Amino acid sequence: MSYGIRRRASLSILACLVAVLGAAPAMANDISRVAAERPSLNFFGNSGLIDMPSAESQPDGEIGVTVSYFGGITRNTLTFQITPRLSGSFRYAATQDWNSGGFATYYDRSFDLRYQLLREGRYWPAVTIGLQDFVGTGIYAGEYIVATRNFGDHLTVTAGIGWGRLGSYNSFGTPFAGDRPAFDPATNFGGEFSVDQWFRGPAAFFGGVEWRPNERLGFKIEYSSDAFQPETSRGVFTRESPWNFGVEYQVNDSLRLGAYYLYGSEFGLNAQIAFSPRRSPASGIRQEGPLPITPRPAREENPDAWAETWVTIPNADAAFGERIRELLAAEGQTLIAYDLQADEIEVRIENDRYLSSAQAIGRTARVLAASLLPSVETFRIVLVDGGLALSTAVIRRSDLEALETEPNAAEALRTVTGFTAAGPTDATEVVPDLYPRFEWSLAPYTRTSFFDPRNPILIDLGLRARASYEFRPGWVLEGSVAQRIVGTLDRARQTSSNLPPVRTNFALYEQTETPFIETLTFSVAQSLGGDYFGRFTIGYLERMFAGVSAELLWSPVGSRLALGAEINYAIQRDFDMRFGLQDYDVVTGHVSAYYDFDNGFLARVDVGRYLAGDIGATLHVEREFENGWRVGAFATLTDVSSEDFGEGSFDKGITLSIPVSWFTGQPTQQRVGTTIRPITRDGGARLSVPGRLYDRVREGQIQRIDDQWARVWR
Amino acid sequence: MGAGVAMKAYWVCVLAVFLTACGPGADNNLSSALLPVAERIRDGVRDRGQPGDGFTATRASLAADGFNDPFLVARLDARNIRTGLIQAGQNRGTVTWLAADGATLTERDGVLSASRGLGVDLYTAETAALGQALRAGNSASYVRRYRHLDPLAQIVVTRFDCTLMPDGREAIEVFDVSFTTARYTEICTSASLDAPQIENQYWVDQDRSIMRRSRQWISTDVGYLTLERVID
Repeated sequence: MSYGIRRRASLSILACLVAVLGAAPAMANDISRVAAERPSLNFFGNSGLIDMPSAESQPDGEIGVTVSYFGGITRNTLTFQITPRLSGSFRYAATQDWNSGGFATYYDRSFDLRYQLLREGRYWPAVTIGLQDFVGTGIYAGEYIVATRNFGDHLTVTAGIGWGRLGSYNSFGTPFAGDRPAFDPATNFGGEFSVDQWFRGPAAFFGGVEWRPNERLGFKIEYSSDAFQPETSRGVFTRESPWNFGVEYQVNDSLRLGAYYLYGSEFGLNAQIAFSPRRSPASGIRQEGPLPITPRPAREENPDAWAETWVTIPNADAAFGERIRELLAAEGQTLIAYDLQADEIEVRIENDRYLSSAQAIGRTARVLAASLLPSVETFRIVLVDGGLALSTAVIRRSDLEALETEPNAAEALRTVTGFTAAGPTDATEVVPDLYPRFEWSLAPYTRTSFFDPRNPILIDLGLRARASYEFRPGWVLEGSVAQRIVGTLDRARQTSSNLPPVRTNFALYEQTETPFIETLTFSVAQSLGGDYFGRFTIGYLERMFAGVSAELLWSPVGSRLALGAEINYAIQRDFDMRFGLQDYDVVTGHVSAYYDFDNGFLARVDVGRYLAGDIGATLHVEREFENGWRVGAFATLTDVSSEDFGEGSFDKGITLSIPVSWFTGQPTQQRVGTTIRPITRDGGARLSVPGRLYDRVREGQIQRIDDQWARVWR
Repeated sequence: MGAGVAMKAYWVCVLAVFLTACGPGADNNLSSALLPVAERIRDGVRDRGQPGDGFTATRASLAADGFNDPFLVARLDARNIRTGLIQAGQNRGTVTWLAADGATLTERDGVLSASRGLGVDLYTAETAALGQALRAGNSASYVRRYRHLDPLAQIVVTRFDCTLMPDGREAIEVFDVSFTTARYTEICTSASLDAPQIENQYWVDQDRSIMRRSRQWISTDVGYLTLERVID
């Protein structure tokens, strides 16, 4: 599991998902139940009518990408149904012909949150409360309470009250009083929670009807309470009427297209693309079957086969070790160390193939059952990652034999499998001639930058060579060298900053035309015993910083809580990313708490000092699905003022990590992922250190193993 | 899959965006401990794992290639793929068969209890009640539970209410040899909207009490497998 070999792609996965799912052919009678029953999305990417929201929720875990256009306004929205009732959206909108504030086309980023207060019942409608654009620069800011009710299978009626943007047309008064201060770019840097505005000022009614005569077609009529004052005053478009009309067509399970006539003057289009961790484009993970369990002869009938005298035969230990090593290698498992006794064996394996540690354990157990003499009854399988011994699974061979053919084999095996902490690897048990281990790889890479006001999408394509040299378990020299081949990232703009430019000068690092060193590190990561793990890293840690890093993690095998501390000394690297260093250096570090909730949420809090010398804390919450999909959001607050931070006020973003096997159906540990930051500033910036401990140690945690336990028999 | 266009688009994506790597650091050469055994079948039956016509073995060619042990031929109806299988293991009355491409099928008395390597596999299926009914040779009603893994890798148990009906005797040909069989049809219904009804068929060789042919359901994705026992 040498982390150096793992690869990450970028936000282009989203573009790709859209291409994949959108390209599924339209076939008659091929709309799945999920697609036919899924509420449609509006121009803001939320469950809704045309421009107005409804109270419906998407299925839990659903991700919607919408691209909508009308009257010179394009909105791209990513919406995630965080829990069955809560959803969040991130939007990137472009308004043409804005021609004010120095923008010809105005690009705007915004976040929404919606919560369904009431589910639709027999006599009452669903009710949802929503905050639109609640941390952005505020041009779409609006709040609403909306109710939606289905009448039969085909008709949906929605009515609501909106504030802010959604209370701007034909308002009936100010139910919660208060005034709503206008957004002022001179005093507001955007990005702050505009709590003082929520539900304040004039309110107005909106509503509409959706009629779906069959599983593909939908017709919509709505009354909009948005006056579009900022747009009409700038001549972006002319608003003639509050009434909007639309027709939508479900092309396939993922894609829904719509055409509309809006505000009495404009034609509009909307593409809604839906996907979910619960629906894989591959059908299952396809791979060769595992070795069958061949039961041992009954002891009473063949006592000689069960004799333990073989342990005294010279070379028996080495011969069995070699056999196990070969069979495990075919299963993508590296045998690091083993200790074979007459009645038990401990093997230490590094899982290089399966996303699921349970599957690695299962395949290893089958290899042991196929290789060893009958007297070896207890298998102790230790998952290791370099010098980190993660956990030990204790499985009895007789249980494997008895349960393999049982219908409830997975549940039954889990009840008789024990998990314990694993001690550090004994150097005398390490497989001879395994070390030093050398690995290399050559692969193309992409790098992207989004939301630059002049160039919303910048992308580079290049070639990257990686190599790692492991002297002994956990002692690794590794690095990667890359060369940009083609791309537009060198057009990224450098922004000014009141803080040391620890991240805002990223554009200067994108100018390099020659080969550059991405990372070059020497690291030692070891189990320290007693649930403690340690790491020390020195070298060129990331593109922008070199330095020294030390980390300590406490993470018991069965504990949902883990605690860590990290201290680093970092020096800014030269822009050409060769060996040179600049003058800026900083001591940065954090104490961290990690918690794995049993409802699928992971939370981590990091408190400490950031790259620009600012002090504060980061909260990162992720929804983790059992198959390894992770969707999360983070925010960092430090002692830097909004003014010094600049646009956005504080650092925040969305994270996405998807196992590649979900796309391809091939067993692999690779992931693709991205961090979407609306804006990159210098406050709350964290050093990126390769091989941080928590995600590595977690692969051996009981909760993580149990998430995919069924794969133990795969 | 049937979604050929989507498959193509996604391979392009996988190649272009997800960055295929080369070098020993990339675990691209997947295999399993079973593959060396599987190769014997591949060579023997001249089945290169190609869909459709790849399978060319005859009873005579199998004998000439030294296949004297039990031999099964399976056809994946939806994908029109045929492959030969040999026994790879036995445990407590179940037999695991290995195909040339490394896929495995596990059965008890000819009734499938598991598959591996087909995609959305049959994780496990209960076989006891059906096996008993087939041995008795009468019509019977019983419950069978099928388990599959969903895309989140969680076990989904589907409870089927099944009825087995004898269809009488039928002479069938398996690889140019005639056998007298008793045919049975098993109809199972469930509350699952994905698989509300499945229909399996069994041809039990009367002389040798062996499942000579069967057509059995694997999963909604994979569909049905037709199995023929060529060598006993």
